[in-house]
Amino acid sequence: METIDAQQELVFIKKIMTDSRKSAICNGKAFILWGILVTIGLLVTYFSIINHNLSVMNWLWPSLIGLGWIITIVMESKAAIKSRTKTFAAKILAYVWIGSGIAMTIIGFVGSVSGAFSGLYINPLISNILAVGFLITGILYGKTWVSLISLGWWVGAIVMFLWTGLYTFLLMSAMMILFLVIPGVFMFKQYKKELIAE
Amino acid sequence: MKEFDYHQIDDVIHSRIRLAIMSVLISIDEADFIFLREKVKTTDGNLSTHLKKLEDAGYVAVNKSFVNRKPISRYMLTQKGRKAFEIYVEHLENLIKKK
Repeated sequence: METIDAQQELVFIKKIMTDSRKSAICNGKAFILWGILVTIGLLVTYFSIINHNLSVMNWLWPSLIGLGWIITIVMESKAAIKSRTKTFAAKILAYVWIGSGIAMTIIGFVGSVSGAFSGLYINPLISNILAVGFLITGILYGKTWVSLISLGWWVGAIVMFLWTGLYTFLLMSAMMILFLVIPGVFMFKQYKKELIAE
Repeated sequence: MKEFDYHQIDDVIHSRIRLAIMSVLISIDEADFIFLREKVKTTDGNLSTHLKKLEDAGYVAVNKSFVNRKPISRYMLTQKGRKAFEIYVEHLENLIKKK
């Protein structure tokens, strides 16, 4: 049996553990998908309100959100089968976003349809949920810049709560691109880079 | 440089490759054979031999399935393996403290 120094052994263990934990836990695809779908919805909503053509709302959001869920389920199921590792962090992250997605869907549909609150408050409420999601994602992903995105969502929520108005649909669209689609693209690039590195 | 007291350490874990396998599996829940091979940086045959030793000791469990008709073996640490790894690391830390 070879002789190995205990300290070297611990360094070896730590290096392998750190290296293994680096395995990508978020590919960013869902952020890109939902960011694009919701931005389309917000812009169409804004222009349909401006043009007094609200009939489009009957099918717009149910179609977009339904499509989003279907694509997400198919995409994530395929990714789970193909995935070479399963980590606790990835599991937690998946449940955080599934929970957030359900909460946002309930706020978006049930909340507004029931008349519990004005439709203008949907955006700041959703912004708050996304902030929490990004804060946790950043911690689990091990990237501070991802956690910092939550600040953007929270500032946006405060602005939209304090100054309500139709402009919030445009502001929320810009936030979707800036704080969801663009981070998603960065995460996807990082994921691809890690896959090649492996 | 102080060396290990071989009477106190777990012989099953005390091998570079088996220790590497255990270190990978302690940090993630489950990993397939290819992932382990890349992290441990060894050959298929060598990895299989060491995985078998860990399986025989009850430290590692394997889950075999088919994805797109290709066989996939996913490995995970058992409770016994987790405990053994903890004790092993504890021994190392104690050795360093005694220095």
